[in-house]
Amino acid sequence: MNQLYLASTSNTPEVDFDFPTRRLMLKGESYPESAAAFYGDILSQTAEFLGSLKNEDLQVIVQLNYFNSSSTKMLFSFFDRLNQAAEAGNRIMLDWHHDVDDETILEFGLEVAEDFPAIEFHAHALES
Amino acid sequence: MEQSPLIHPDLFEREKAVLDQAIMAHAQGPDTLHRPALGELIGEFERVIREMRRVIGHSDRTELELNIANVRLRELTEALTYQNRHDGLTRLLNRNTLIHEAERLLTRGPMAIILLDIDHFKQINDRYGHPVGDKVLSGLANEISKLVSYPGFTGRLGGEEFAMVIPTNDIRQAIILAEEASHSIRSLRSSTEEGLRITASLSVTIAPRGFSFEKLYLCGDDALYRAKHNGRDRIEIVWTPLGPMDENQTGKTGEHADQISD
Repeated sequence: MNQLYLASTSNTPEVDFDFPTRRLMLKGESYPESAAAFYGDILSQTAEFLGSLKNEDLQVIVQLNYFNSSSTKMLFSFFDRLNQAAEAGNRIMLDWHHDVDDETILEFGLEVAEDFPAIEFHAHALES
Repeated sequence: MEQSPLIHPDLFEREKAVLDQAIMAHAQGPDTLHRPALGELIGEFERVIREMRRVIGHSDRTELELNIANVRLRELTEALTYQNRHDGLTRLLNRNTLIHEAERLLTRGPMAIILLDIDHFKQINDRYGHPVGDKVLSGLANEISKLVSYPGFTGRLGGEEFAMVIPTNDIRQAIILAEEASHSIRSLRSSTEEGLRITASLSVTIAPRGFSFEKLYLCGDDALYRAKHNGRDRIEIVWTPLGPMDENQTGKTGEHADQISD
């Protein structure tokens, strides 16, 4: 599978899913007009990719400093698919970056870690 | 507006798929005890999805508004911070900020202060009107701010009185600056009032690191008064070096101060 790359816009994050190197990154702000439309294709490509993995390592980097409720709903689907891939025997490492002052984003990350226990979760505080 | 999940992407695609399965199973029977329970589950599940859609839609709109409000708040805070530090007319530092910054600079090293007062400003206002007076003030502010660069700064102390502050232990540097300021003020011209000539009286004072700003300011003010008293349009220099040791006598430095005519 090839790389999936979308440059960031004022209301969508940078999407850098480098499937060949097993490294997926989401970075920026997320409040698209339609979160379902924005994430729909990303999620289906990711699902296809995850289905092809067998006992592999995958690094997922999330550095979102703001996302709205419908994006949250779509992100849950994303993490759920990652969790399934982890349960299927892959090692999924989630690097969760948050601003050092941003408790809200950190707490959301900790909840993700709790709800999707097969994913290896690492929080990273970024100095602003 | 209801969207068809077959064409449009949907936040609840997965939930809808499971729900459709349940609806099909429920429709096919057979009539067992599970059937009414499944029917009830379908109804509740549909309700949860519908309500979740409303909640998410509402949250998205609220978050967007909050986000916009946040940006505006940040812009307002920046504007207020600026207004709190600057003089509204001339956009130079205001009196409080200038004093505060000068006190801070003086704790870190030697500093020169040039005080500047426009000559016969009241007459300019009386004769040409306040709008012209305001233009003189902002024109002068523009000229003197061009002469001083960071970490030096300029400010309006009030009325027609201004200050230029530079970190230096070389009084000659401050004198050159005062002369440049005096010169550029003299060349200020009004586009509407041809006869208007502007001059200023200035004082130059220097102090070593750790000296009290209050005393430095008093000393400069004293010299500025002498510049006015001795005929205006001139620079009065306090040559006597002020030192932490001299603090007790700074009130008297005026007596030792030399003068140069401009």
